[in-house]
Amino acid sequence: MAGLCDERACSMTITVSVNGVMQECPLPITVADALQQWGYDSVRVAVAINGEFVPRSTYGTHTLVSGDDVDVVAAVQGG
Amino acid sequence: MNEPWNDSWAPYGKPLQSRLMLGTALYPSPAIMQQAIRASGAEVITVSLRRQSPQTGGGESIWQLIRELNLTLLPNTAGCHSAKEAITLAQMARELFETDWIKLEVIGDDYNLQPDPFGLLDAAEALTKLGFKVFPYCTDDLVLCQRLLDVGCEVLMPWGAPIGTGQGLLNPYALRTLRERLPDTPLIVDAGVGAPAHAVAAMELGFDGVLLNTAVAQAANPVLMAEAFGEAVAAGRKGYRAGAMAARQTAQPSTPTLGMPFWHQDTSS
Repeated sequence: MAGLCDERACSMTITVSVNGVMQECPLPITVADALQQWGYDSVRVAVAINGEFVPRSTYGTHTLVSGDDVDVVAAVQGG
Repeated sequence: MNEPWNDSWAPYGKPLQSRLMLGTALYPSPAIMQQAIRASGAEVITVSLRRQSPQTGGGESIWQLIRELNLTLLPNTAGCHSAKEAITLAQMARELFETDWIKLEVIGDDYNLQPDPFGLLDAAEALTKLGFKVFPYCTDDLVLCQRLLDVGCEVLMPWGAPIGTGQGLLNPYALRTLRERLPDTPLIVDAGVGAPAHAVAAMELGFDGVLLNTAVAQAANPVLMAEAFGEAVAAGRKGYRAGAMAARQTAQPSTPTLGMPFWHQDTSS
């Protein structure tokens, strides 16, 4: 399953919520790495963590911590 | 008043010819959505953001359809119930859609999707300070509208009726009051418009535009209805600019009475 850390490859993991689904990640992991791991690398998305907007320019430096609540959104039709 | 051949307007400085703004949701298919938007003549379309899983394409197909239309995008904060949620979603929308326009929705009541005036005002002030061009979806309350202008909104979008009801202009008095008291503010009726006649009525009140979605998307023939709304908004606008006659209580013939045949002076008395 995408998002699960291979226990043989990393000894420390964290658990975060991604769009309401719990996922385990290796530690440390940046937003950029996490998006790639979760399959969003080729998708146009925007991200918020714990209700706060995370600019794309910080994906490479923003590190996830255990318990983070990550929202990944994309374009939809709207009224 | 503009010359008859030039009736463009410019919300937040963006010159537009069409005064109809159209939503992109609820159409029977993406292809019909595209056809309807083109048939309407709308230059501004609303879009939104939602959680997506990469397995479903992550919104890429919708993004491509929207880009193909090559129109001005107005992202919304639909579904937000607090200023904080709306502010965060607006920032996400600005990055993803590459626009500082935002249709600001902060819902205060789930039964009729009535805007929360207090959360809306807080969010509008914060977003304006962050450089957004805020199009607040608001009630028709004059004082709220004045406060929204005070915090930096340059356009207002009062509801005609609750979202998706299609009931038309439920409070023409309040809308007319807004027009009279805020003569220089672009006013757009947003929500509740169900039939082209409602759009005509809004434009005849002097509103600058109409924003709708469901009335077109869920019509039996969305493409034809989109065209109808485009014409209705244009007709209502022309009617407003032309200046309607004053209504009278009593009949008055439009055909001259002078020279009427078969007329005889009554000499019996």
